[in-house]
Amino acid sequence: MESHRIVVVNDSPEFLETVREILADAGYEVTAHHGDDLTADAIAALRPDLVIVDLVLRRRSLRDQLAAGWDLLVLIRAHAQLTSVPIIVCSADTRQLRQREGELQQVAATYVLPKPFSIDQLEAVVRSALEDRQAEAS
Amino acid sequence: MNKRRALLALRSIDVSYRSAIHHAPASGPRQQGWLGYARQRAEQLLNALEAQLLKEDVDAEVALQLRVVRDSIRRADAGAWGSDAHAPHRSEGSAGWPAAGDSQDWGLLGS
Repeated sequence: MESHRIVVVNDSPEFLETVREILADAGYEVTAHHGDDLTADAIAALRPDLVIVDLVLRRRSLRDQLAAGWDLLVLIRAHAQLTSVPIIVCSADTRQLRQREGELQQVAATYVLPKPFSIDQLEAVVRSALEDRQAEAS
Repeated sequence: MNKRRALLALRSIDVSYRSAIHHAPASGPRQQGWLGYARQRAEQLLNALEAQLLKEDVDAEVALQLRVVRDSIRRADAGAWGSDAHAPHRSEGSAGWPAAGDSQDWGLLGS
């Protein structure tokens, strides 16, 4: 069976490594990225089946660091090769998630994973996103 | 749950909790709400995991790590309520997981 490819974007190496190990153990092919200088084209080149991105990214190259995760999400969704790729938005910012609930609902195939999370919650949302995508495709 | 999965389960809570407080606002009421929610959620997850592990034959290393993570959450929280909510993730609050590489090495970690 072909393994699903997952791209994880977060500004913490420790977070990236932990999520990578969990998802690799579950049989996924994982590419982790810190988010700096990451473009939608670079993500598309990895041909992901799923992207996990933090809503808050402290990017060294941007002044408006806190908005970087949201900006990346919008860029991913707008990219021609990524329009149908599910995105899991990871955040501890419950207020921003509530404020952007409407916008998130407008962005197709977007899922929310609040931090902190358990291993079961992470695996469940990944499974759900990939199953929904397969159901859409068939 | 085997030992590796139990340790990963603990690490998931610990690391995602510290990622949450790392992103907290630097000060003010919003910081308080953010940190309070994150800690409450982390402790709920940890309690649920502990209950699950206690039903099984818990490995000594897992039991030890469970206590370390609980302490780590308390310490990380206490640190975050101070002046620096944005301290590096693997600072004093770390539960001592294997190093994932220095910030200079950030980039595509591969599969």
